[in-house]
Amino acid sequence: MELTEEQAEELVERYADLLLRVAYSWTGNLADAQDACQTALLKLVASPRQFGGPEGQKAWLLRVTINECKSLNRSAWRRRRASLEEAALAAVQMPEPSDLLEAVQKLPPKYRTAIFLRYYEGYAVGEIAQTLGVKPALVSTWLARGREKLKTMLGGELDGALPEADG
Amino acid sequence: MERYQKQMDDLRYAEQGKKKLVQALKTAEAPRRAYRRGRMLAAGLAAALTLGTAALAASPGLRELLSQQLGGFEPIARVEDGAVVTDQGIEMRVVSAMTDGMATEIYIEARDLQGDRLVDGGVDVMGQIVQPEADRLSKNRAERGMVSAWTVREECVGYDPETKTALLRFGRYNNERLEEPESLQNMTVQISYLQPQYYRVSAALPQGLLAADTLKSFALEDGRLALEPNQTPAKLDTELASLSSLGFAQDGRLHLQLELPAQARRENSRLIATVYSKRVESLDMSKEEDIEEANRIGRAYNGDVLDTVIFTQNGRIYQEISFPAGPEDLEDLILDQIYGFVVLAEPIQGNWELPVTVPLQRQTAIEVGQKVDGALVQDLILSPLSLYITGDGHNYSRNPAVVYLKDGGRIEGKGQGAFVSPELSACRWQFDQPVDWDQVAGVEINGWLIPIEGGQAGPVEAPKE
Repeated sequence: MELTEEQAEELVERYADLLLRVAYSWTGNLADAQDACQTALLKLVASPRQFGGPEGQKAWLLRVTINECKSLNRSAWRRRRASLEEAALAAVQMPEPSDLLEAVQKLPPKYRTAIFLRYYEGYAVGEIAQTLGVKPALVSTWLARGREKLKTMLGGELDGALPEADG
Repeated sequence: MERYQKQMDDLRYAEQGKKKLVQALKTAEAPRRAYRRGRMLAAGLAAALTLGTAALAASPGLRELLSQQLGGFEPIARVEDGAVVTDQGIEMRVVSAMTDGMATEIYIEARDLQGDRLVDGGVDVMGQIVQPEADRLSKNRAERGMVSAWTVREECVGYDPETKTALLRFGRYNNERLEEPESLQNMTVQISYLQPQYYRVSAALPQGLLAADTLKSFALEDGRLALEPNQTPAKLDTELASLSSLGFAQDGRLHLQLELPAQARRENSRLIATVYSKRVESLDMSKEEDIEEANRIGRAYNGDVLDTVIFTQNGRIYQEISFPAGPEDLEDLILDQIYGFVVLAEPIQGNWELPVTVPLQRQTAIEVGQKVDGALVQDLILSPLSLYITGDGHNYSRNPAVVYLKDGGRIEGKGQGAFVSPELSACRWQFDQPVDWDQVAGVEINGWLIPIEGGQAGPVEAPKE
């Protein structure tokens, strides 16, 4: 399907930053995050499908992006490729370095992404489970363990960094 | 706003990056890093594929959709002596077909000659691809006490309102090779049922509505208890259902009552939900005893079979699910989503049998006999359409397979599931463009690389940790 300029701009405005953030939360690498974001949007454009509503489309894009991240991370061929991180930086605005973000990025990818979907996107545990393709109980475990690890790394307190309550 | 949210807000595309992304979407350009997509076929394979009589969709509006679906396979998705069959005012026409003896995909257009019953392409379809030789093989296996080996797929992939035509896809995926795959070229698509206006639903439930108080209930004609409607009304993120009442009834059980659209077909619509437990969060899913406890709690809250009833009151249609969970469990309960399907039209039942002759794409088997990611890969079975791996039952197909070409290109195969039995196990991937296996340098599964040289597999390389 060929997009007009307007249609492409609308897609990018609606989803690009979100997909970039979730992809970065998984890969920890800007260049890979941009690749995953672009591939997910291309898959949406290439295969028209019906969704239950805008939330359905967003959920689909998040799943596809995360699957793409998993695919990039596992490749034995990747170590033969040159790093393009510098070029990737020009296309993206990064947040100021902080102990909180640095600590989050040190968590395993699954914990990072569960935390992103829970505390940034406000997804319920069941929604996160569906997006990541795992059982809700596992998501709850990842969230709990992720918070504990963050507390340890940040010297014992999350203190306004993340909400207190979960579930 | 919490600090984490605020800081993640600052991660975004710069204007320059957005512009590049817009251009990439307009031109459908895949990300270009240190590899190229293997878009072009090697000369040898290209010469072997003939253009010209590839079937074109009868509906111009669906022609482009079919092209997208077929991707690089459009030139080889030929139809010879394709049939057109009409029944119940629906004309079925074969517009594309391809097979490698194991994976078969056939596209059929369904055009409503009498009206606009198919409406918008939300169509559920029931049909199958009949392959007599493969069926005979499967029957022989069954008679010997072995499991039969094929999976099927049927779906509506698009709709053209101008010509009132839906594009249907039928797939059949045999997990075992025939000794004479040429026999498969003559097959039949049998379609018996179209369900128009069949819509999948997935919607979050609003939180904070569930309370320990007992809501008003009444007895249905069959004696079962239902909540009085509209005690906790709320809109959901779907037009196909709304929340009517949510709470505990006089039977001490949790009830979830949804209102369906006035034109919903009661006998064909079904929405479900699952009750989760906050207690399970503290369990360790790596421990066997904690997994058993999680399963026990799951059964305690949901039962073995969902108790569901649909009734009409004052001209409105309600579907209600009741769960064994009670008010004493309130603090532990998580009920956050509904999912399922709602049907708004009558089904169309008919008999459409379309014979199809399909050119066979060459399939090659390469013996591997090595461990990949801890499990044995016995053979790679390769064709331009698909990759199968046989082995000892490990399912690799949850992740894509990557084919690396000698010219530096890369083609990704999408995992399509696995078939596992004591005697036969196969995982399958499908490509969106034909693969010339003579040009392949290696196949990567879960990050493990199987090099291919001169039609033989080399030593497997593990991923770097």
